[in-house]
Amino acid sequence: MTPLGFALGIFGLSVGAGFLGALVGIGGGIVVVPALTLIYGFPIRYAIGASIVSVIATSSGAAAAYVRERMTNLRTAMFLELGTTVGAMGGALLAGVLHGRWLFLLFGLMLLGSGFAMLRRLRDHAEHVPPSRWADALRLHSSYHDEQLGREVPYRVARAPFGLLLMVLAGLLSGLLGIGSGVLKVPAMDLAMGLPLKVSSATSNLMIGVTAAASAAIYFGRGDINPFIAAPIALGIVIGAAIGSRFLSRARHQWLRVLFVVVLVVVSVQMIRKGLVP
Amino acid sequence: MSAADRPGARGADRPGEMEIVVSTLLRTGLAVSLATVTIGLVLLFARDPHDLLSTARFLALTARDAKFPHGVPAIAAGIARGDGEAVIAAGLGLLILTPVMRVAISLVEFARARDRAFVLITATVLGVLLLSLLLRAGGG
Repeated sequence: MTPLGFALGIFGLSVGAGFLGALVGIGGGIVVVPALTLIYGFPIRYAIGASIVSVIATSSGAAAAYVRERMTNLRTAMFLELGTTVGAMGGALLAGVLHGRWLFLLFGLMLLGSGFAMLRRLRDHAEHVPPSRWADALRLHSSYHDEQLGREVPYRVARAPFGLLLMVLAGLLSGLLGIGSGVLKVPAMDLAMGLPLKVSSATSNLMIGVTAAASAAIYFGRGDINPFIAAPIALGIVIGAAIGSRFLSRARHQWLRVLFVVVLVVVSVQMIRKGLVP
Repeated sequence: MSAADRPGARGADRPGEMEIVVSTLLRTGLAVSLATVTIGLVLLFARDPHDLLSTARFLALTARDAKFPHGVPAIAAGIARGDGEAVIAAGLGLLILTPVMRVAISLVEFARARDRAFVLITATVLGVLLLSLLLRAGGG
């Protein structure tokens, strides 16, 4: 392997990861970490370090667009970031002392969980939203403009403290594994707190950046983010995601989703095996 | 003050001030940091084009104990030398700081709106972020 060969290879892989990620609605971390460890044989901590900065890049790009469209609930995001940042900091510190085997195992299990979550997508969210004193006091309720309905849709937010607790967990997973953990954040808002799905995914996108920044700062200072490895990945993922988001409105790739779940399961088995038999 | 003036509150159909500020900041931060990373990558390779196809160089760059700057003083010194890895590290640092600056700017907006609860919430999040930055900033 030569520096040029590696840079071009991992750049191409990252463009693909960003493109697919944008199409099926996940970030690139889920692809980058297995690629770096299983294909290139890097230590998992390096892979996580490279992945976490690319997570910030993807989030910033997507969140900028959603925020401008007023799809993001800025107040709810800020409130829930209390939980995600604390969790992410804990996760990053924990990853520094845990043996790599545990990270492989956890990552494999998380991939399996993500696969199931993707298959169960597209349900309606809970219609009944119980009253919440917290959400009232913090004025978390809001509205968004629905393209299809062509009007402003108001919504109420519920179970704010429970949502905050779930976000600590999402942050912990993000800091530990170098992923955005949107796969936890979106259901926490959509199913538990009663936010519309579109608002949940836009708000999750914004929160992912701050969550990842909290752990990335620790990985960076610890020397776990190798500039030469991280650079082509961050550039590739952003370019791939930008192309992917252009295709997004044109097609609903249901078969692509199924294919992606199959890949997730296969990769997950590889990661778990690597955790069990190093 | 009407409800529409509050940052992030439900209001008119167009984006409010907070939305525009946050969106512009994220976009600018991303563009500046990725441009810096690209320059660093070019510098890294342009220094010694022979390195491009050297297996030994690849192993040195990606070794488990590879040396690269990851503290502020080392990055600053590296940039002064024109070291590509230091420039990439600076770009990645800016990328990490982008969401932090988003929180800082939200704090200013909430303070201007005299939204005491959210000033407290935002200041706490900013505090956690600064803590994680300072925890290891001295290293390397």
